[in-house]
Amino acid sequence: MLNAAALRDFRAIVGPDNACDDPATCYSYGWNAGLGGLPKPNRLADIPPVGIVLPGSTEEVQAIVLACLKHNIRFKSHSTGWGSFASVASPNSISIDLRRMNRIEAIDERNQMAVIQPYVTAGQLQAEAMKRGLNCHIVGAGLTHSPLASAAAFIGIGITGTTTGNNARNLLSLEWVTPEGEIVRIGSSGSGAGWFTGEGPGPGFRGMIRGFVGTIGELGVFTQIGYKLYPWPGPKALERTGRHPQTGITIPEHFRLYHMVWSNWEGVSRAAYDFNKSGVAYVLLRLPPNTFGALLTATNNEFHKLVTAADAPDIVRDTDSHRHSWTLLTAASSKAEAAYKARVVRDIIERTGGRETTLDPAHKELIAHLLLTSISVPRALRPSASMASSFGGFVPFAKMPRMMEAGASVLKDDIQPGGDLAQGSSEEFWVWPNERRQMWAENAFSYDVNAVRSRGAAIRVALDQGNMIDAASDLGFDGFGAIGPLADFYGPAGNGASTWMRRIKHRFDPRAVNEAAFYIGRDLPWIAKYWPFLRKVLFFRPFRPIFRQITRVLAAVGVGIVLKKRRKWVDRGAGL
Amino acid sequence: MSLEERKRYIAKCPRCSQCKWVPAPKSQRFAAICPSIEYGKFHSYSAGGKGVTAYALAEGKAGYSETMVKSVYACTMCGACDTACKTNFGDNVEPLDTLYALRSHIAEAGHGPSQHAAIIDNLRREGNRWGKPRRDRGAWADGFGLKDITATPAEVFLHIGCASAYDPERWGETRFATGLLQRAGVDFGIAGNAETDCGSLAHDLGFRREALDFAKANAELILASKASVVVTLCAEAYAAFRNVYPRLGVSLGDVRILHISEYVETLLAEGRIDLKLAGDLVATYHDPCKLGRLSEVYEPWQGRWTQVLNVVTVADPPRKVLFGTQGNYDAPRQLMGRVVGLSLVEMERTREISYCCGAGGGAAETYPDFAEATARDRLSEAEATGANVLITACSGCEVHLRRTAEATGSVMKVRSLLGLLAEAAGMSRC
Repeated sequence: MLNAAALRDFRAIVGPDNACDDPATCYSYGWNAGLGGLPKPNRLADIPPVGIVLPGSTEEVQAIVLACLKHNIRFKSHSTGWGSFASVASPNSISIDLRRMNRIEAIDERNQMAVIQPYVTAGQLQAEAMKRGLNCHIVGAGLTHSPLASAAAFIGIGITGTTTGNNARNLLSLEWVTPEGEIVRIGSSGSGAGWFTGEGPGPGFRGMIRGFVGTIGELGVFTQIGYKLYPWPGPKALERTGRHPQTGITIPEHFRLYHMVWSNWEGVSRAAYDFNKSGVAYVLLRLPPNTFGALLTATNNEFHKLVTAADAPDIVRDTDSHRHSWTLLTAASSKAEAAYKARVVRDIIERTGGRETTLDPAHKELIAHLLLTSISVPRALRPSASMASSFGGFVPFAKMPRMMEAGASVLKDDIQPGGDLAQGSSEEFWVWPNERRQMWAENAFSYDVNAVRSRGAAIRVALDQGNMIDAASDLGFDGFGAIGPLADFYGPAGNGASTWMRRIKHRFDPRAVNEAAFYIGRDLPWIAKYWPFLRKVLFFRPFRPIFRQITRVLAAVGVGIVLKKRRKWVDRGAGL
Repeated sequence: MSLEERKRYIAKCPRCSQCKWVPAPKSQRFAAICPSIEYGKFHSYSAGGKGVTAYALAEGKAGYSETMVKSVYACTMCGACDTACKTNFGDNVEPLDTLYALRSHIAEAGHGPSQHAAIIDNLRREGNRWGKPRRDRGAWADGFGLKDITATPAEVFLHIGCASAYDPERWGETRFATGLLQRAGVDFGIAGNAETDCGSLAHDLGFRREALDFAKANAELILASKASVVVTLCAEAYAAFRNVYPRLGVSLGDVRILHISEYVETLLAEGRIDLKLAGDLVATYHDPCKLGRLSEVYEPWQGRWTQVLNVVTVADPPRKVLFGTQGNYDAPRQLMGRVVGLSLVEMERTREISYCCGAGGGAAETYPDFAEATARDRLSEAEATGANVLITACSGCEVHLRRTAEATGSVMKVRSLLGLLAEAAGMSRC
């Protein structure tokens, strides 16, 4: 529990109803939803926050941070809180729940941007933007994620990424409360010029405190941002069809959905270049057939029945004839534009040796809903209740065949019948373009978070993925592999990224009052020092059985065990 | 189901926060779906947070406190979280079942809100939450010569419900309903003073034993009547008969359960009565939770969870999953559609994603400020439609929304569906 003086201070700042140290309330913020950096494998976090504080303004956030410094209490900010990334993982930490800061301050239609606070959800912003002929980027977490948290502090690229870019690219000017309690406006808002750019006029160091992966709530608190919006040629509101939860949409006038297949990845890759160059795709996405199975069903029983049925629809079949696919949505504002795009799509299909497949009309409506809102992306989590990602990213589409092969090789042992991960499609790759250019690819595999064997396999595969990418620069970089302790394993290959991250953390958070479980610790974890050696041993083929046992032990005791020492160092360094 | 048994479901929560919002919001203003977290703000008030609380309680990590109890009981048990969660997670988590288990656990341990003791005492003593005398339950029917179904069999068991039986202001529409049935020549009877509470509130508060007692008593009464159809005026009882009793293992056999709106709609479809208002009315309709998503027919499942495809959990045998869509949404709308002079405009949150009025789950009795805040939210949504009348088909919703509208100066006039129909039929002075 919080010490009485600290609680008194927090209550004086936010009001008595907005600060709490009730143990059950604190536990409700301590949920271990994944493999991540939390100390224990149990779903219930081993270290819940000691208090929850709900500020209503930037000034209150600042006062809370200063109170944390005064009382030697760590903090971590928390917006909508997907998964465990907003959780604290160190003793004597509070969660700053930004729920009360939930305003869309402005939607600037002419300049295609919004100014938003942390607790605005993607669903809310999209609904309001569409009324004004605009749309926003939504990451795979779906409509409940916080665009501010994503844009300001986390890696991610939504499936509309070819049109709407990625988290880092959507951040304009931002307001930041530093870990030392200073309010800083970065970019144009810093010179009172509005929220339209993250660089200047005004102090421009957005890249340093955001980077590509993001600081995951562990480098101060972001309280308001300018956020890009994009043209939306569709209706002011999507017209829903079907029955919950199998809700689709009426595909808007001048929009068209295609599902296309090729006989190999080379064809898919060639088509991607052409689609990107032509600019016809509002959304271009490749999903594993098995994932389509999850998305098109409402329960696991339905899913199992669908993917194992002899007469399963083509879209869920993981065969050479069906897995090499693109799903594409074109959007146009006139009949002529729609006709032009249809001609271009037909031409590209023909030129690259593909074919369009027929979809069930209800499936088509569901998929269109998914593509435009990401509403059912989280559904991919449903079959096993847990999923981990990723693999490679931001490489040319020419690497697609190699990427797929690599993904299949990493997973092949564990997704066989009797394996420890969900039997999915052969490579489990979600692929789509970023801003009509690079290929973003996530190797998203499913595991059972409640089973040690499965969790161990997930840890093993995550490390295998990182190791493979580390050793093969042509596969891009493992975006999610730069989170938490993995940053120190794979950072050196990223031009010393982890070293720079650590310097930034030291400089802006000298007293280490801001949590450091997912971003980077103040000091190099002991295991990272030995990683170059360990890595040679662990990934040496004859040592695989030992590696398997180690990952199971880690799954049983929690990956946090390797971080314990780090926490002690942090405590000592911070004088806590 | 015990908290220990619920842990496997809670453990599947990905902490996505979908339980806080409508699946696909139409605006920021009305994007919320959970009244509890809107009021309490801390995550512990959400279904996901309550799940973690339940887990912590089951693991002995968290104890009871006033704050914790409030986070559990400043909740209307409206089930919206459950519907929202199932947007993507099917029957993985089923938060509403966890809320039932959590309240039951707390109540059994004797840590529930103190106000509940009086409610339960009233229920035990007089068979209604207010403690009004049992002997007065049938007073509304005095002198009308209605058939006593406990003495004479009838085809239809007309179940009146507590509010319609005890509230004299409601007697007009109660009599309208019986008048309608009489005009249609329906063979029906009432149980008068023998009727008792449906047990829904006891179940919501976590008093399972009491809920079971009421379920058994009602089942006995209904089955003894030999009626083939139960028509109830009460949304809460409708939900209890269809959803709660099967949860408690009490069966009503093959007896068909209908809400009065469904039954009257059938009669009107046969063209037996004309409905016309004196003037034009622009109205919006509030879907009561108990008539809607909480009234889906629950089917007990005695299976086991197995893993297929290595780690994919499935129910063996398959079980019915309640998505909230099979409640009674159409009959009230069809009825209103028959009323000449009435134009219906819908709110943003309707049918299975309807926002609760704030009265349910013991909230109005336990945390009235929470109940009122929730009602204000719903009234503002109704006002945003441009309608000036809010119609609903649940007495609990109607009373609570009306009182809040009056107390807060809302322009919205709150009316019961049955009352409106009575007026349109020219029978409001029955």
